Amino acid sequence: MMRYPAARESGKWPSVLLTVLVHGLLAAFLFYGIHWQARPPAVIEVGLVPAIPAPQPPEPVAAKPEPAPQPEPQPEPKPEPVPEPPPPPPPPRVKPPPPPPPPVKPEIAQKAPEPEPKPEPKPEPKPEPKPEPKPEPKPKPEPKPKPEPKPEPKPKPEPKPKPAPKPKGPTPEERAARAEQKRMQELLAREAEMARQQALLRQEALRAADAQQAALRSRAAADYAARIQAKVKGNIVLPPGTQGDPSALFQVDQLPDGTVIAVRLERSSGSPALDSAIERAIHRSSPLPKPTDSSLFRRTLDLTFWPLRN
Amino acid sequence: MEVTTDLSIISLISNASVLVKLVMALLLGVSLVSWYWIFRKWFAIRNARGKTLKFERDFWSGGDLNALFQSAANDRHHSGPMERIFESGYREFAKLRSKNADSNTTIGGAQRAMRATYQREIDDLEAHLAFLASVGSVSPYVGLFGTVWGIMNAFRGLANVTSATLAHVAPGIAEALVATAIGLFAAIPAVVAYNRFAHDIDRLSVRLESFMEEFSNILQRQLR
Repeated sequence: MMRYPAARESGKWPSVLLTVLVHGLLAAFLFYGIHWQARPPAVIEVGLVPAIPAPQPPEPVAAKPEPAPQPEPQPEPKPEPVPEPPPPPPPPRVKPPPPPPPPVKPEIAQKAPEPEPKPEPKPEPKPEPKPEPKPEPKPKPEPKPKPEPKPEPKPKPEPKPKPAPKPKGPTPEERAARAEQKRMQELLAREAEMARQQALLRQEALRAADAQQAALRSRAAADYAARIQAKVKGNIVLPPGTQGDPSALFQVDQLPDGTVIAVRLERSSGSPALDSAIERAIHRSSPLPKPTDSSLFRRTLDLTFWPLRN
Repeated sequence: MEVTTDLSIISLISNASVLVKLVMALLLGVSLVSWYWIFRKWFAIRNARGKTLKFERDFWSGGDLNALFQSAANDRHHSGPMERIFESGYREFAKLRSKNADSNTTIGGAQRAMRATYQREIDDLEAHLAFLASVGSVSPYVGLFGTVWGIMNAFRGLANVTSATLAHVAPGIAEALVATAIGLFAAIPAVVAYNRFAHDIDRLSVRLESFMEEFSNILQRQLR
């Protein structure tokens, strides 16, 4: 019996050594083998990242045009009230009265919307500018030819903005009253001017602070548009024979969860087949991706598609 | 979309859940022990076979049985199983013959002594082979258990994500599969070694048994 242990001892340490060696080899193989495999995906990913920003440039163009025209209509309505009074020159004091009250508010309103251009302009401008421009052209032609022959028509168009002061202007008593009024209004105007300048300063500070935010927001908006376009683009089945670089503008109504309700073709790509392919792709992309910043969400989106662009 | 998750083996193991880590540790331990015994058995069987061949050559070269017995008894630490069987059988035979027992008793005693040594030798060679067999059959299941558990966790994590992508599950599954890999790494060599060693020991035992029969015949001839 004594011989067995002695015989066994012989292989003990070589066995331990070989065992460690085998496991060391396996560990090295696993480490380098899997590590080596981890590299290719990283390389592929570098290719993926630029692919997303690529569609972004087109979209800012598509998304920004909307807000840009909207702020513009706003300033227009204000100059309009000013031209209206000039045709009846007799009451020049009339001009100040209308400006002071509106300017204070509208200008603040004007500048306020600028830092926050997207959410506010949309609802306001659309209803306002359209009704106003229409009445303007009519009064303008009327006052010029008809003021002398027919004094009566004047009051009719004017009553809308300020009917009372203009017709009564001629009477002397009222002129004195108006002189006081004018002074008062000048004071008011000056105060309004002060307030406006202060507001401007405040606005400047705000704007500076908002500039960064705005930059972030515009980037987020571009990213949002890019994601929508990327998703839709993935669903477009190009009709055969599509050539060149066609683009189509669509207006898309969506629910807050991104579900597409309605798609309207605003500007055709020139090919009805391509238009309907894009429209189908938009419907298939429902629900559309949501913006990371929920304030960027809009019920109606104007989207331009370049289906052949990468 | 972080596709750049580090998939090196170290991060895979360190990110695994506790149970999967335990399974991996268990399998690593099992693998170490089984490889240790694979090498030990390999050396032991190779040694036994080499010594058996050498002794067979010496035995059948027609040398004196007494001289062979002397060398076997003096050199116990370096003798093989066949030499030890010969030694125990011849020792018993010599003792019984000196007591003038009858031939059947003498041969029977020598045969029993040889059988006892033979069984001890075979038992010694077969020791721990059962362990290799269990490792070979069980460790894949243990690894599979770790994998199933890891994949369960990966999919449970997926339930909380609104937009499910492969990238959410892939690292979890990769982690979990490491357990199966380790289990297979432990099992495959164990199974191969077990089959190989069992076959080698079978052949060796056949050789020893036939030697025992032949040696009994030689002893019987010596009694006359």
